[in-house]
Parts: sequence; structure tokens; C-alpha cells
Amino acid sequence: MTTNVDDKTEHVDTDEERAFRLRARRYLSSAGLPPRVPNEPVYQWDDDGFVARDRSIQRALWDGGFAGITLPVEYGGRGLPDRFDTIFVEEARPYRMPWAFGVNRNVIIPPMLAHGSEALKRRFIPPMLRGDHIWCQLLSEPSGGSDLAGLLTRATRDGDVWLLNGSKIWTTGGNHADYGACLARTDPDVPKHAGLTMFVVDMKQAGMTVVPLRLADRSAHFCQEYLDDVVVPADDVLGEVNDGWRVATTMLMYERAAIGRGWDYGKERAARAAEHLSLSTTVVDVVRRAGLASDPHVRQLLGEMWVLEALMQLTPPRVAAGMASGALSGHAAAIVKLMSGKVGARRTALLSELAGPLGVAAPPDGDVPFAVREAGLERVTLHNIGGGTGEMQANTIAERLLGLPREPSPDRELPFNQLAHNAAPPAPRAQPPQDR
Amino acid sequence: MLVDGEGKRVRYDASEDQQLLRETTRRFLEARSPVSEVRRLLEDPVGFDPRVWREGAELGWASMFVPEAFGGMAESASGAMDAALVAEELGRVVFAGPFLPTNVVAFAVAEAGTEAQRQRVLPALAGGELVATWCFAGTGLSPGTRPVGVRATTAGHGFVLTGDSGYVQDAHVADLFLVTAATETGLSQFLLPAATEGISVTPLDALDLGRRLSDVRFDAVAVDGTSVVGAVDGAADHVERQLQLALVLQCAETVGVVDRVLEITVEYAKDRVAFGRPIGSFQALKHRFADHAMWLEAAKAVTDHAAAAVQLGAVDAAIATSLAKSHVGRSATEITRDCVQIHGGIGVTWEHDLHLYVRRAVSNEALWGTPAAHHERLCDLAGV
Repeated sequence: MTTNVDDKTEHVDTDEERAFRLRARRYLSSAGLPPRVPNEPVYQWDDDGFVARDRSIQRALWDGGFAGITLPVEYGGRGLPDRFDTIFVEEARPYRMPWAFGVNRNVIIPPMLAHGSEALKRRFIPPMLRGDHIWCQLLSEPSGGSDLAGLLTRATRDGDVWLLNGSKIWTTGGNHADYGACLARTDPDVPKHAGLTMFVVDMKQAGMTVVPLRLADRSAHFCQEYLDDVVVPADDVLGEVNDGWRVATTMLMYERAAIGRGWDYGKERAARAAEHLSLSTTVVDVVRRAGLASDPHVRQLLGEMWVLEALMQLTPPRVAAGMASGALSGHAAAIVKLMSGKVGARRTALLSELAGPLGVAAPPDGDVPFAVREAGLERVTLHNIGGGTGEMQANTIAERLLGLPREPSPDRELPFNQLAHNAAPPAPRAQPPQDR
Repeated sequence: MLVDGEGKRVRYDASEDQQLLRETTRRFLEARSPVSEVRRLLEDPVGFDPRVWREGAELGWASMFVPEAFGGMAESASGAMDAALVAEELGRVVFAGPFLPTNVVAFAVAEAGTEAQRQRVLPALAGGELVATWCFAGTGLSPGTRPVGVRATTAGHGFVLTGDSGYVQDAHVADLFLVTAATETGLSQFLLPAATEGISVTPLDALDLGRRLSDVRFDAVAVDGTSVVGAVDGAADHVERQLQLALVLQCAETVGVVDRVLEITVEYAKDRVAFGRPIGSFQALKHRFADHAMWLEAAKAVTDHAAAAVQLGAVDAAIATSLAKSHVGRSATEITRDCVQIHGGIGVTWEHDLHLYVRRAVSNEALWGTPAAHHERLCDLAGV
């Protein structure tokens, strides 16, 4: 971090690791992968071409023997220690990785390995590694996101199959997913955590209606799904029936942990090596051009912004090291998650203050390097709500890391069907919203 | 601070030697210098216990920057990183003693001193027998990030020092002063016995009850050439590195203060009952605790980074230390203040130790440059 920012860990390679590194380097340079473009948006689920390209990138990794480097051989992986994955990530830095497969890698495969049946793992992991299947998580519902275990989607047994009815929301990549891991209620007569089951759902079936959602900031990264007698074969259960909460907990742990160490195939981890404590040159340029560089107040804002950027650069690796060493549990990722929300909001406020009126209205063809208008909205909404709200992260930190007691609440003891809950969602809209 | 792991660690990748140093230091402080020492020493003319300081020196507290040839262990230590680790432990007990100034002066003399200066001073500093302090900041409202108070003019083969230096820790009992002064075309540094004629020390009323600060006046103090440390007019780089080290030690100490205060407050919130349940079960408090734990983790991250940057002499060490000071200084005051609020009435009593910690946190925010002064410095460093 403080020395050469492009340092790889090549100097500690064993002979075997060195051979792997050179093989990866050679393959990556000849596989026709697109280059990594700085500041390219990580997810563009509303762009079909983007997703198709990611499928071919994942396929190329598979063809070269670099998909599932640390996963067991029997499920299509290479069965190598973590070190080889690190080496691959270092060598893959110049190239665009298959971001659309990040959900598979970070949050689907780990709980599947932990809880899935042998048959399920053999059937579903290889197609993910080959680039054939994109998965999504079907967790949050319109009736509630933070209170995940209070979800309303019902699964009823009908002969050899389960029939699922309800609605899911905030699904990253639902419109392109081939399969989904769907948490649904199988027993409403027991307390809420005890009556849930995690299903493997084929997304391309008649009963599944997927509607992209347009957010306030105009982005379209998420979807809502309407499940109308969605059919799931009886064997396609991840873990045991009525033990879905344990599977979901594992999934959420891996999600937070991935956010903490840097999302694999994502922007954060790729950018990890480029850490140096620099102040955004764009902001400095704007301040200079506005003739405000010597304004004492502006200089205070710039200083604070630099501090915030440094905290966001330095804290995730520290927390990740703590989790890797076992000194911190996976819950510690909530620290990073909460911080990104808090820092994002404060950073946006600083930008707004620096930009003044230019931050709310500017000529359409003008050169406004930090238009805070929509970016500001996005930063606040996504960082402090997506992936679990700041409030839920704060609860996790307080209860799981600091050991503070839970608040008393009726929902842990009473059967689910005796609890108050929000109304079920309305039927699917006739028309999905128009594309941009 | 975090209960599910070995929260004792400030650096999750600390070496075994560093772990040992931390544990030894913590055990020693628990036995010999718990926070109650601050109260015992309130009216003490020295303000710290010289025996404890010497015993601490035997544990290596003043040896990290002193080469082995002079009785130290610089070669086997990771200077700034090890010293930061000790400083954090000292913060946990609001330690009273000349840790920061002695180490900064030892660092300065080891780096730039003449052979004679090193022989005369370093073994005694490492052994805890001599107390040294650094006259750097100006008095009053001067920014604390630049040496502005003292001028040295040439006179024959020597110099004459004139001016005032402010907020000098333990100046009232120091044996030696390292003085940073403006000379004709740059900065120069001088190492003087405290008893040198023309030096007068005025103790300040200090918020921090565990730390004595003074203004030091140089009234036409005549010194000869042998007291110069490093190059005349060419000391700016050394002064900068000394400032960086001071900031790292101060930030690490502050991290220790906050770590301990949050520990105390979390325990209190688990034990204290209101409305039929522990107050720590109320979400209104939990979310504040979560924020505090988060900003503390960030404080540790940015302080670790600064310590490593200073240790390695990295190009961004100046930036790293100012970033650290801004965040650590400001967040420490906010967190410790809110911990008093969470305690309620008991938290504002004289008998409770909280105010001793708050006093240290608030003082550390203001000394060696306020966060605002460091924001200015950051803009200068970025060429804005």
C-alpha cells in the first residue's frame, strides 16, 4: 500500500505456484478477453450485450482451467489452495472479469457447498463454472426486506413437486438469471425462523414473471419477481425442508464476507492493488477552475473528503485481514457495509456543498465532472439500503460483535401465523416499465 | 474491543514479537500504572512516576529508535509500528509519562545527531534516565503543524535562540530540549540542556490531568555549534519526519483511549438495567455503539497505515499521518463524549474515570495540529 502500488506477490511463489502463474498469464493474454476499463459500471443488468459478454468470459475461464480454482474437482473445480486464486486474481487484473457471475461465485456456491446434497452440487456447480447458468438470490419481498424471516412467499407440497406463490424483490440480475435460490415458507404454524425452506428455482418457467425495477436514480439493476404456481421438483431443496433459515444465514454471511474482502469478479477486489491515498483529481480540478482553491472553507471540505476516501480504502483490507486470521467473525463485514453507507452519504453531502447550484442544475452539454444530481441519489440509496440496510448492519455489529443483548420481541416465540405482517403484494403489473 | 475475537490486537497481522510486546506492556501497566495513577499524581510536582517510566524503559519503551550500539534495539524493532503499539496500550490507562517526546527526540538524535550527541544522549534516553522533549509548535493559536515560534541567528561560532515554543510536554521536568528554529534560509535544530541560561518554562493549565504542558521561552539563549542537530538551514526533512512520528504516536494513543472507553461503556450497557432490561438492548443505543465500533475500526486502520508509512519512509507518509490525525482526532472526541452520554449522570462525576479519558481524547485532538489544520496541510501536500 505504501510502496509500489502494482506489486504482485510473485516473489513468494513456490515452483508450482510460479508455473501456475505463468500458465495463467499466458492463457489470459491469448484468450481474447476484453481489457478492464477503469470506472466501468460493475453491473449493467439492463444491457443484454453486457451479460452475454460475461457469459463468454466465464466460458473462457472454464476453457483455460481457471474457473472454480479452489472448488472441489468433483464439482468441476480445480481443487487448489486459496493461494492459487490470489495468484490468478493478480494476473487477471488487466482483464475484465465476468461480473455477472459474481453472485454465483460469492453467495450461491459457498452455501451450496455447505448445505447442498451431493446430487445438487454435481448438477448445478459445473454449469455455473462453464458460464451456462447465472443465478440470483430470491430473498427480500415487497412486504419486508430487513425482516427476512418474516417473508410471505408460500411453498405447498403437491405430489412430487412444490408449488411456490408470492413475490420477491431487489433481485440482482433476476431478468438474466437461469436459476434462483428462493427462500419460502413451508410451515406457517411454527415460529418464523423454523418454517422456511431454501428452494432451487428454474427462473425460465411459465409461473415466474420477472419485472425489471427502475430506481429513483434511473438505474435498473434490480428486478421484482411474481411467483404464480412456480414448480419446484421435491429434490430441488438446498439443505433440509424447514431448515432454510440456516442456509439463508450462511448465504448472508458469505455475502457480507465477500463485501468485506472485496467482491470476487467485482470492481473492489480488482482495484485492491491500486491503493494509494490520493485525493480525487476531478474534484480538485473543478475547485481550481472555479477559482476556489484558496478558499479556507473549500479546503476544509477537500481535506475531509480525502480523509473519507482513505478510510474507505484502508478499513476493508483491515477487516478482511481480521476475518482471514480468525480474529474477527464473518459478521465483521457489517462494519465495512455500514461504513460504505455512512461515508457514501457524507461524501455526497461534501460534493453537493462543493458543487453548490451546479450540483442540482447544469447545462445539458456542459462539462460537469462531478454531477452530483443522480450520482448523489445512487450513492445514498444503494449503499445504505442494498445488501441489507445500515440499520441491520448496525444491529449485527452491536449484537454479534459487541455482544449487546437483543431487544425483546414476540416474533421469535409465536407461530408465524399469529404475528402481525404487512399485506401480500399486488398481482403482477400487466406491462413491464419501458426501457430507458 | 470486539468480543468474538482477540480484540486485543490492533493489527490483525501483528508479528509474534509485537504480540508479546503488547501483552507485556499491558500486564505491566495493569500492575504498575492503572488509570488510578492519574489521580494519585494530580498534585505531584513531576506529574508522572519516574520509577514507572524507568521500568517501562527497561521493557523497551524508549529503545525503539536507539541503535544497539547506544543501548537500544532499533535494528531489531519496527520503530514506528512497535512504538505505536506501546502508545496504544498507554492510551488505555491514560498514561502519565514522557513517552512521546522522549521517543521523538531519540529518533531525531539517532537520525541526525553527531556521534558525540548520540553517545551522550541516546543510552540515557533508552534507559529512562534522561527525559527529553521537543519544542516544535508555536504558542497560542498557531497551527501546531509548523514550527513558527523560535528564531536562531548566528553569533560568532554559535547561535542565539529567541522566541516562544508552546504546548511542550513535560518541559517542566525535562533534562534536554530539542528545539526547532527558523534560521536564515531554512530550519535548524538544537539540542540543549534544560538548564541553559535564558530558557524559562511556564506550566500551562491543562485539560488533560495526566499530562503536563508548558510554554517555553528562549530569551536570547546563546548556544555553540556543538548543539546543532543535523544541517544548519537543512533540517526541514528531519523535522517533517519527527512530526510524522509524533502524530503516529499520538493517534495510536488516542486509539487506545477510545478502545478502552468503548469497552467500559459496552460493559456498562450490558449491566445497567432500565425499564426492565439492559440498556444495551435498546436499539437507540445499539446503533450508536455500532457507529462507534465502526469509526474506531477505521481509526485503527488509518493509524496502522500511517505507522507503516512512517516506518517505511513511504512517499505518502506525510499524507497518511495527516489523514490519520484528522479522523482519529475528531472521532475520538465524538465517541468518548457520546460514551459519557450513554453512562448518564454517573458519567459526569469526578469519581468516574471517563472524564480522564475524555480529557486525553480532546487534548489529543487539539495538539500537534487540529483536524482543520491537517486538512489545510493536506491541501498543501496535494498542491491545492
